[in-house]
Amino acid sequence: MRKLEENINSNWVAKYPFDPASKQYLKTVSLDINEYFSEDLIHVIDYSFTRALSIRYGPKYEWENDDLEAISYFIASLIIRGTENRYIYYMYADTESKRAYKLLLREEEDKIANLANHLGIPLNISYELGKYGIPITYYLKVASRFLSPHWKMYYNQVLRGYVYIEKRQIARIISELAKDYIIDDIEKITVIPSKIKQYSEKLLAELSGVLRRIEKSTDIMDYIRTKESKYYPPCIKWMIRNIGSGLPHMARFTLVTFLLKMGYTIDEIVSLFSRTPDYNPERTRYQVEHISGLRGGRKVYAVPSCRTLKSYGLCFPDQICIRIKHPLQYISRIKRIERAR
Amino acid sequence: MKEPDKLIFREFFKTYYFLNSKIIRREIREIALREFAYMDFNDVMHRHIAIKEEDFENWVVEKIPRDFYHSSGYYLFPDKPMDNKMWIKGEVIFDIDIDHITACNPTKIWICTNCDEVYFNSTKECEICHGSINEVLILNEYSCIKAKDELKKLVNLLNSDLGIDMSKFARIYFSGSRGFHVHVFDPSFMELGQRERVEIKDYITYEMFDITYIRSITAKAIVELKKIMEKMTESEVIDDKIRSKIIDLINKGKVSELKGIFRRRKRLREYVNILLRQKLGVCVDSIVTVDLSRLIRVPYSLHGKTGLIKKRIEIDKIDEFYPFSDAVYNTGEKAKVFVKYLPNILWLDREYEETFKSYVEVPMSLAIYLVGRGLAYGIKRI
Repeated sequence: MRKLEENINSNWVAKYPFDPASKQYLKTVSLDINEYFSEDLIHVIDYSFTRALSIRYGPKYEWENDDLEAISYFIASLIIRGTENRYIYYMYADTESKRAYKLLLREEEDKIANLANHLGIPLNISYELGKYGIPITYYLKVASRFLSPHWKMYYNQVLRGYVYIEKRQIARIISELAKDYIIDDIEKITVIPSKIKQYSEKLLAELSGVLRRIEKSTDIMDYIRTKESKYYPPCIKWMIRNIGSGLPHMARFTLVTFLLKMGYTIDEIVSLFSRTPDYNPERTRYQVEHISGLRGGRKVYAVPSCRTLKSYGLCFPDQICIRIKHPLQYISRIKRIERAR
Repeated sequence: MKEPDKLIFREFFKTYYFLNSKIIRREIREIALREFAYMDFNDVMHRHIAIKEEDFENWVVEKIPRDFYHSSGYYLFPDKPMDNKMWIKGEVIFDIDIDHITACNPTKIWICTNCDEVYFNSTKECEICHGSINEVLILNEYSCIKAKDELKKLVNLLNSDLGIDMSKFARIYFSGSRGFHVHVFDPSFMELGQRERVEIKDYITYEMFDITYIRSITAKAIVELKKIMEKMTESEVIDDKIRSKIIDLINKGKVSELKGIFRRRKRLREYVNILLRQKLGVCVDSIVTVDLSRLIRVPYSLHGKTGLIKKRIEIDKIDEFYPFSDAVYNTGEKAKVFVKYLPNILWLDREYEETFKSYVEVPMSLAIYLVGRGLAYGIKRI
């Protein structure tokens, strides 16, 4: 067995159970899964179920028992896997990632560097600047998912292949990367004990409202994909494709304005957004209605121009895009080209 | 192009490829994984071609491409249609073209396609015969220097900011026409997808940079901003009080307050943003860098409209590079050609004076260049 790293203790594992180094530790302290169903230990299962349910109620940042907290991550992962619903996997990963983010903000530099290192990012800490240097290609792989203009490289110091960022930014990057590890942890599970499966069913029942909305949104997604989307510009296609993994604010706004223009109803758009991991039905409806001019200032918002989308890093141009200045022009242009053919 | 000229063009390209196909092969990494494409002398484009490394030289000599391209991407199946090629990874390409650099100011002329009359100002139709007009852009020494300045800026960014080892993982080429190409094949950059490349492109061009989003006081833009502020005099956009406050905030490292100043002053913000974009950004063609399946001219192939070589430039020889002597395929032959307009040009170390509508004797390579650019016709070997 690989020697345990000195800094991996039960507290570390409780905080960052997705860290590959945590698994080594856990192997030494955990019992066979069936043993947790004994009368003495059933509270561990219940505790884990509550953790799985944090999808709905948000994560916890404080706990009393490190070992219990650590083990609950793995049992919760089993419960999540038992639902066999990829959307639930993503929601769980998103919740756990938010938890990791907050915990990282309280962490010291060398601990952050350790975790980054375990997740495959070789950090270069500049003690002089109090900053975290992350190799550009690693930075881009994660930061390019965020798309808020704040993450553009030129707003930070870029030197000799490293982007130097603040603690909040590195915490955000690590916690985003953690999602991949969490999903991987879930998907790697192949056998789910039948007793756990019962908890998965219970979780599905608890989340039934959310799941019904997703089902409806899947129908609309399929409709958009099959009927219309071949005429949509690449930026919009990208947004539709990535709606399930969480879009930045500007992308959501653009997609709403665009779909409203295409004649989709508010209900259809709201249910489409129920796929986003941080979905909140009331807030989404309010915002969609606001954009459509039904609420607030009664202003009907226009679809942003290509120039604006470019500034938010939401432009993925193809050959047709070269000649247009606005996403809506794409449709008439591609139709014209098709007619000419 | 008239048929007899086309024949001479083809002959010129044929000898070049016969003598140089080996150099071309050596210059391309992973030939078997690339898609190749070429334009033949009947203006037909052939795409989705895969070539085995061992067949490459014979293939080039047999096909004689007028314009010859390969993909920046490496594919599992380069000859299949686009959706089935299976992209593995791809070189990151930067394209600097004088057309895109506003400061370049290349020579522009307008020629009547009917009576060969030359105009130095934009016109829609010929004033003499009302024939249609052909606009021609000519690389002059000044625009060449400006393009080289952009190239040096790009090389510096790639090296000192992005940390790319330019001697090991990058090559610089004259494009064969009006600009430069930089091919980057650093393994960690080659795996980047389109999203990440958009970010790289934005960093290189400083496109959409806005000072009010700055996060770090040590960002390059702040260092530059300080220099700008120190040099700036009182004007409509800024008074001395604000100017010294900005410098003071930079010295104290107060980013939020600094951003606040620019947020409240739209004109000053726009002014500074434009200056910083110009100063720090490089004019590259965005789509070339971002496109994962881009076709790019093959190194050491000839450009179909100039007959010039897409020639490699050593990093420390950028200043000395002069396309009309360093990228010319000199056959040693002379030719007589009718020029509509011959600009004052230094070609193969000899200066040619500006000439209108007459026969001139020039090296074959220059005759090819002029005919290709639409400035001459009727090449005759002498």
